[in-house]
Amino acid sequence: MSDISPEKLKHLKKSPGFWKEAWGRFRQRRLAMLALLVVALLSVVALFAPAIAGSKPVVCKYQGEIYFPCLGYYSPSFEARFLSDNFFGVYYKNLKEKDPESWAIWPLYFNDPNRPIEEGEWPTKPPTQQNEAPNTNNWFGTDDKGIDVFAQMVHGTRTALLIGFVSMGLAATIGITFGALAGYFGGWIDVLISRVIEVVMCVPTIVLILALLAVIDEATIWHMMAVIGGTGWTGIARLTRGEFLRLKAQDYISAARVLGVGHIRIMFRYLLPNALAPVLVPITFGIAAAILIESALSFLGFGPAGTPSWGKLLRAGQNHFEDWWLIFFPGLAVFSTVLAYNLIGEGLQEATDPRLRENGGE
Amino acid sequence: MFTYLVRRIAIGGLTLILITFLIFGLIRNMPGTPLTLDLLDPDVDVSPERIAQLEAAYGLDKPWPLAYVHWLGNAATGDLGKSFKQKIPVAQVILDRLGPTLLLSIPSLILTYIFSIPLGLLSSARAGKLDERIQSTILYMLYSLPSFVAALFLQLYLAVRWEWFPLYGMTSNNYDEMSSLEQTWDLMWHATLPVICYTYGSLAYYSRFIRANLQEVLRQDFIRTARAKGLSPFNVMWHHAFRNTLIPLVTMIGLTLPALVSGSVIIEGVFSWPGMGRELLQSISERDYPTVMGITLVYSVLTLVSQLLADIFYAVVDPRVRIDSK
Repeated sequence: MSDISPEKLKHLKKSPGFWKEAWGRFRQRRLAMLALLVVALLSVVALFAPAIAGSKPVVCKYQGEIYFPCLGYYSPSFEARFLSDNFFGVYYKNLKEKDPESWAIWPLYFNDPNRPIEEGEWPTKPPTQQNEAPNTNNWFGTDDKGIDVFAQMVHGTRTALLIGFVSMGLAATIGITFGALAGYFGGWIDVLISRVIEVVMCVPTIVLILALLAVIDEATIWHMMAVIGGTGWTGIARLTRGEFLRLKAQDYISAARVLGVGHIRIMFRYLLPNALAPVLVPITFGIAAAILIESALSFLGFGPAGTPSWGKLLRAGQNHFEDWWLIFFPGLAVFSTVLAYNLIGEGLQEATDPRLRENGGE
Repeated sequence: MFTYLVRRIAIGGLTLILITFLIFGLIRNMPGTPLTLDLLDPDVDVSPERIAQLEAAYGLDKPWPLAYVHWLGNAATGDLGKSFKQKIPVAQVILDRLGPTLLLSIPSLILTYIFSIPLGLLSSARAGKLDERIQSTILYMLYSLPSFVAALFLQLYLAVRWEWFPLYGMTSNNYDEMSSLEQTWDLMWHATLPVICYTYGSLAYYSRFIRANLQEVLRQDFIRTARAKGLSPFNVMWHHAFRNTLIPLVTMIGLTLPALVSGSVIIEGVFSWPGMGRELLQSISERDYPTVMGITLVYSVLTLVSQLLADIFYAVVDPRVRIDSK
């Protein structure tokens, strides 16, 4: 016999488990890993958007206290102190004048995504002109209101990714819950939920989204997330229902019921972890779709009010075809993001689908 | 089979009523009415009696569930009402807009199938080789390119910069004076860019779909037998493998039927193409309730019918489905 001693048997390596194996397979696909890197990069940009491009200091010390004015892009409360001191959004001059002891750390790229820069806001920076081609002061040019395009793109990344993740998270929650309930309980619950899914699927999505957005007066980014998430859950629900129907028939579920395990526990601890793998793929594709819907809505003019977005830039570009930078850069950004998520989704599909693995796959 | 059909149609009818009820409620509760635009016009008489008169004429004086029942009754007899904005019957509006939309979607469908089948077969036959990988990557990138971004790029370069195609619209200004041959040519010239935008996405998707299905079929034993018999690769692919992928493909044609008629709101908007999609968007903005309901009804009926047809087709063609579903 070979060298199988009792000591060696005790130290046999544990089987890695489904997810580790899937990750190993995912890592072998270079395109998918590249796409993952792109998405990670975009997430970093989205997270640190005010620190990368903005006209407010990232951190500053004013009259003995530390403030983070850059977060004023998200909520005015961070700038409250400066508002009461009549800064009017112009930090450089006022910090120097009002408190000679102050210091500030500035964003990497000084430009504002919501307004043009005026004279004297920053030494050596001229006021932004309207409709300027890309130059050293405005890396991606300016739009017809004189607002810098690069700053809008950076902050638009946050809009796009946030809407993508949160609306898909909402859609996944609704879809998985409905699908699980329909698949597990069957009977009239299944019939009812399937009808609801059918109704929501048959309604033209555009009509539903536009109608919902019109009911709300000023659509903020959160309203859009709710609307897009509330209309995009049907595919996930159907898939989850199918998976639950298939898995419900297995022996270990019957054994659990015999042992007296409650329904909710069975659904969430026994069935859901096993049903999750195929559902992750449409969720990933759904993030791409949500980003697409958001830019399409902004492009049509129904975008989030007050927040810069790639679709809004495209809309401005449609009115001024001579300003190619208004179409080229946002278009490229939307395309790259959707492509990256699609590649990740496909990589995920090939890493987790057992049928494709059987014959060596591609 | 008959009971299955009756049950599906009954459930479909119920779903239809639910959908139309939902949409009616939503659009009636949107802020603004068809009259708000008129109210802002200084030339229009806005005395309270006139407003009450207009509201009665538009059916706005009733609460919306009642108005819905009213609309449903009319629709069941075939009367979809009159468009508020254009003052012609809604059925007429739909017929007017249907033509332009079909002018875009049907050539796009034909082109998609003409090109995606050879592409799918080719990429399956040459799987793994360098040229196939490049082709796959290009198709994948096309699939990820959003249609309105592509539309804008096409407009920017082909229409504005190089002026090969018109920027927007369905016909040129002197359309009425042209001969029929020139008119046909003019329509085709205007339709080129929109049709490209419609086609490239579905092309990429279908060729990948065909390729995936073919790969599954090619793993089967009967293909191995065919090859062992000495049949040429082309014979194997075309006569034996491809036919077995037709079922999902044709089912998909059925499922794209609603999209053929409803058109794309975005593409028709970008190119100012007077089709169904653009009409829907305009009607919603103008609060033209009968038109919105009419178009939604057409779209929902088509969706339900196409799903039913797809299911029936599947059951008829694939015996496994029939036997399993007993």
